[in-house]
Amino acid sequence: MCTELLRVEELKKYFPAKGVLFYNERGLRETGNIVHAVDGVSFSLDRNSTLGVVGESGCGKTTLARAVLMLTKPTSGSVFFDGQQLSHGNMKQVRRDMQIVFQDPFSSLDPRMRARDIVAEPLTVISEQAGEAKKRVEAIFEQVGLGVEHLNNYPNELSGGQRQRLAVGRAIVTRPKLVVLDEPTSALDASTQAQILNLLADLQDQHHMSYLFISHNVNVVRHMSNKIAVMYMGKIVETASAEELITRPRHPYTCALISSVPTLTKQDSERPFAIKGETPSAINPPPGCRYNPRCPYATDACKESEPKLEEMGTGHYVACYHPTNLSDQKVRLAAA
Amino acid sequence: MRGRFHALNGVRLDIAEGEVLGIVGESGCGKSSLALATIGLLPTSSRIIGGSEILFNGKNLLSMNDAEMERVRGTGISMIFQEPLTSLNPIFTIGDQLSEAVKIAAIRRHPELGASRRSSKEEFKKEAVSWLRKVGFPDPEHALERYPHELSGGMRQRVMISMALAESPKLMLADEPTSFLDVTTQAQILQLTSSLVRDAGASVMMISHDLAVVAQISDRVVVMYAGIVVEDAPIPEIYEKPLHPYTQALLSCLPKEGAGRRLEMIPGAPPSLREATRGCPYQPRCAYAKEICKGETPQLKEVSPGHHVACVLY
Repeated sequence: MCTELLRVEELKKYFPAKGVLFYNERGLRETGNIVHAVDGVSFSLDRNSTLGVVGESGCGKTTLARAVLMLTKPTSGSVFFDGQQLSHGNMKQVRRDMQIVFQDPFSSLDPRMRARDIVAEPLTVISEQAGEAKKRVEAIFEQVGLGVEHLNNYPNELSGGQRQRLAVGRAIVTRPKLVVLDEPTSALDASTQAQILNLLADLQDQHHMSYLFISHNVNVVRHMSNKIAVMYMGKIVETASAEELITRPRHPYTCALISSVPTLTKQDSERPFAIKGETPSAINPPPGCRYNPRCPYATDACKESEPKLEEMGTGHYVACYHPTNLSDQKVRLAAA
Repeated sequence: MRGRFHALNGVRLDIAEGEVLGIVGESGCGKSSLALATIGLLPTSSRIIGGSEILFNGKNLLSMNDAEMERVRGTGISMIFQEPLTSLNPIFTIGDQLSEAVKIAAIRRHPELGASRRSSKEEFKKEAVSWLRKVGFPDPEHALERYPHELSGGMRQRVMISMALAESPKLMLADEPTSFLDVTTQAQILQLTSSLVRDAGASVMMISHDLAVVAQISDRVVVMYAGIVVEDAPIPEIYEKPLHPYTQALLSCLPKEGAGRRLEMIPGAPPSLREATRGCPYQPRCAYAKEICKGETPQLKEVSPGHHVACVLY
């Protein structure tokens, strides 16, 4: 069995921008007003490992998750899962193997369903025997640390942490090979977050699942991931193993992102990589490198053509014409 | 929902002139209620128990009538909230709203200005422009004409900060001002807030669930749990030598370098506060809990200069 579980090639997802009432049959591109939510993303994910995707709001990380799962139809590009190319037509067979946990456990659970039915529902889709399903659901409750006394609760009777445990239970009940975790702890308090992160780590050790872990929180992504990909305006700008990326970032955006993470010690008011300005609109991305308007190292080359991801060191890919080097720049490390 | 919710259960703290006090705790610990009580904006269904006092420049805010409190708001105490889109008025431009804050401040400083309103309108606008420039708008004249929905979250929060400071308050309450923002924007806003309040000489009550955010701008940090203060110490001492078991646990459950595959956890969940808690509210989850902890609520004790902790261990 090969170690690769998921491979994504040149995945793109464009949306018509708000305010566009119609567009002609020649397609979206003709209207000129399209949001480049995901714009040519490629990566692969091994079995029993975690790829963290980190980026700020609007960078396309959630759209990427949805497109990988075919919850939204990609504009172009391909997704290979377990050796098979995914398309809208053949999803029913692979759905049980790829599941998702959403950010907000208050809106992602049906308020009128009991906890046991929420977890059992995926099993009815894959036509599990009723008696078998009941046993499986109870076992899942134990595994996610909910306790069978909560089987008959409605979501509103559970705390945020318990609801997220329920959402995790729903995702793993079909024994998936891949679970997409879209900001699974962002709505939770620090102490609850630690409980859920530990639960996810334990479940991965037991069931050898792969995680696509999406978060804006650099410290959380670092903690959970083997590999990290940094997204900016619909593109992966840098990817490397978690420790390599955090301790030796090369892309100026990654450096800015990491040095913006507050630590428990007071930082100098002048940060080496304090970021200037705001993320430009994804409707009309700037030509060339998308980070060039904010980048302190930008040159004319950066405005003219777009840098491709290139390997700089083993397994460390950077899309930048002027990658920074830690030896001459003080990049403060994330986490105290 | 019926019944009472015991949000604050005997909070004792003080803020010195020009001091930035951080208040941290998890959701439901009472940190927002504390800020709302201070500025007199608690919902009318709430009740402040007799014997409570909030002294501002020596005057008890809780015994003031509405008119007196109105005068304190803005020029005395101002507040910025988590989500600027819900605290800015969607049907007025940024210029309208900021000029109003500037105007109120000016009239309070010089009551005679109220009469010659027309002549000063341009001045208010000019001051609004200078505020927007101070908070980092590259094109303030243009920004004055914008409506809140046309600005990004970071820019809206900059507007809120300028409105809060335009009235030159003595104390600014900031309730999770950066929790809705991206981390790079958050870094910008924290740096801006820090330098502006220091220039203005204002005191700040900085509320956040994020210990690291509070560390960036505070001089001292108060940790709250279930409506009480469990620890109160200066920075960096509180993070380097935390004394209360809750503060220690809260710090150790954060994912960080070298944390290993499994994080430290705090077992269980905070008390519901639907009933008055007896004893130390953290006791059911505390690794060091003893029989005595169930009996009475520990009082804050000064264990070293400026370091207060409410725990029987000390």
